[in-house]
Amino acid sequence: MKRESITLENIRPENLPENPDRDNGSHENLGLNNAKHQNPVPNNTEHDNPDLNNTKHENPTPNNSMHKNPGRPNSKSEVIKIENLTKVYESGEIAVTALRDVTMTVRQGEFIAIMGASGSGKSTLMNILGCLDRPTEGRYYLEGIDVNEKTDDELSAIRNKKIGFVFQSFNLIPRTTALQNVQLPMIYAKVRAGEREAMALKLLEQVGLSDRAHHLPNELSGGQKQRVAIARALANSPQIILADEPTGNLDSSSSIEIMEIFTRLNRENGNTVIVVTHENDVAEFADRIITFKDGRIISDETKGVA
Amino acid sequence: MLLWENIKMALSSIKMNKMRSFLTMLGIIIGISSVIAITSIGASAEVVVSKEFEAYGTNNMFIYINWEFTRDRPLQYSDLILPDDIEALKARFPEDILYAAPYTSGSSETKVGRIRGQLNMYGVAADYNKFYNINIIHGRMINQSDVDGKRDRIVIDEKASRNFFNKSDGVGHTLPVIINGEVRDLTVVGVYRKDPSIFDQLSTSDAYTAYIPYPLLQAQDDSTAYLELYTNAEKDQSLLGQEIVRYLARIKDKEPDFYRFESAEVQMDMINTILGTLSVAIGAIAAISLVVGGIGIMNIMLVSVTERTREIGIRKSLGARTRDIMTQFLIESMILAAIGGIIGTALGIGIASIGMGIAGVNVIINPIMVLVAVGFSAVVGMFFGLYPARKAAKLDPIEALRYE
Repeated sequence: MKRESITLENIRPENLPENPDRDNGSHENLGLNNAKHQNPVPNNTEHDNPDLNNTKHENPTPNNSMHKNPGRPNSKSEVIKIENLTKVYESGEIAVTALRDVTMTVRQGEFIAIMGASGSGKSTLMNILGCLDRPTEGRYYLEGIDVNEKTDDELSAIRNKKIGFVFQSFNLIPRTTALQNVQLPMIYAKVRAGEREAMALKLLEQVGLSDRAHHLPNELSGGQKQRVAIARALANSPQIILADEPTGNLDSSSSIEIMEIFTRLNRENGNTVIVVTHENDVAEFADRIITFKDGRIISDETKGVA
Repeated sequence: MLLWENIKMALSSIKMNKMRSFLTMLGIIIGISSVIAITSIGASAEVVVSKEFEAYGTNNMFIYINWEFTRDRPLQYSDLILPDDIEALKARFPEDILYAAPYTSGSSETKVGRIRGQLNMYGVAADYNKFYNINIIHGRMINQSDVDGKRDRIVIDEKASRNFFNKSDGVGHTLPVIINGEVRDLTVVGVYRKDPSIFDQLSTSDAYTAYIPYPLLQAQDDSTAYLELYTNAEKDQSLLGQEIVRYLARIKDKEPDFYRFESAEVQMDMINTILGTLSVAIGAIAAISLVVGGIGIMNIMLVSVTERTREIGIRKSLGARTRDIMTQFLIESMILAAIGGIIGTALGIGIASIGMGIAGVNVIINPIMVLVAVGFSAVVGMFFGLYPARKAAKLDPIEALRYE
């Protein structure tokens, strides 16, 4: 795939869907235009607002997320806050502690790389951050919501609307076109079919794959599959993108492409991006690198501050 | 709407594994098609039986001596039914007995020129064709004066007329027959035409059915052991028959059960009950194959859940709720079963049509039965899909995503 197709042009505001009559305004968050138009004050009202669908109207992307250094902590609201998180896996009589008393905060618009050897607990943390798993002890607040108190179905809704997943093995549904794969989160968000397809096409265009919309995953290269996966992760315009070893199955040029897309999403869309990786080249794209060992954070470095 | 999405997903998943889906459906197809075929054949047979009885008239009744009573003692002359008894019955039931005559029959060989043939002759009283469906096309039926005068008259089948006289209208010709050892030349007074019936195929003899005045067939006297009646069709035949035989026994000073009766309607009801019971019984056996088909669906859905564990994990990570996954798999199994049901219905109707076509009978399709069959197969799909769907829905997303 040509580099040109994933350049700034495609992510410019004029290319983004504008659908003012949509009750669920979450899609508009994707674009720069919304960040400009909406309330720039990062007032976190989500404690009072139980409806996940509407939170984004009231808590839009702050305007400074695009141009200024995303590492400046004081101007950002906390999207993720974990306190004394512990995760113990019990298999038979042996209990394995994957996370020990982890406390960390992620601010809106940060680009974080989580590093560590296998078994260091970084994947466990990712699963908990992605609301796929629950901690054994400790608290996890996602955009102010206490995730521990949510039911499984509520967690499904959170994953659907607030989090976009990108996996190492792409995890596209086989024998289903790229377009349908991208639509999947919107199906579960009950977006109407026409709107869904238009949005999915838009997202594929943004990752430079509009000409591959009707291809099946097995007809795509690894890099293309991962770009479809990114388009899918963006489907319901989530604030947070969680990528678990997104370049693990890719060659170096595809890896760079993918990381550049993440960088743009972070810089231009204001997405909070968290990438788990063990490759230093990949981690270099991030502004903040958190390193895990034996279930603990052993270092947390932010560029330009350290 | 998620339902429509689920239906589309289910259809594409069924299409992906065409052969497997077809084999899975096969159980349902066989079950539904046998249920439909059997019930259709049963319903058609009932209609055929009713039609046949309509020819006789459902008000046809026979009265005869209960042979149980004459096992231990010889038959006495007073046991037999005499002309006076018939008159007494007619007088007692003027509204309800429309026709009453001794039931007599005999068969004889006949020969016209060099053409030989067998005649089965039934003794009738006047106006028999008013009750029994005899379509006179030439001449007339046996009348009162033929009966009263014991005249040598005969009404024959059109086919017999063509055979013996080489023409449809054989009125005026004579047929020599032997009745009670005596040769009689019977004059043809009428020719009838009979529509073909399924019972024609049952009789192996190629004898022609003919009607003659009943006194001709009576031996020495006017007594008889069998009485043929046509009764008021409005009445309950079984109650009326009971009343008539009781009355007859009373005037003949016999035990109340000394005479018995047999009613066409009662017989027809009996045959229909047997046919109905048979088709329900066979249908129920066929329904067992539906259960087997359902188990086949459950089996394949379990395989499908295992195969698609990773897909389920992906869907869950993208926001599918337990309910969404459950619905997806339930709808898939229901559609699988319903498609099987529809194919089975078509096949069943086809089998019934071919089978009834060979028998030369119009097939009767009971639309309620079709609805019940297709609905039931969907219920089978739902019931047997429930467990695999629950299994899929309960998968832990992390483990499902890790599944290879």
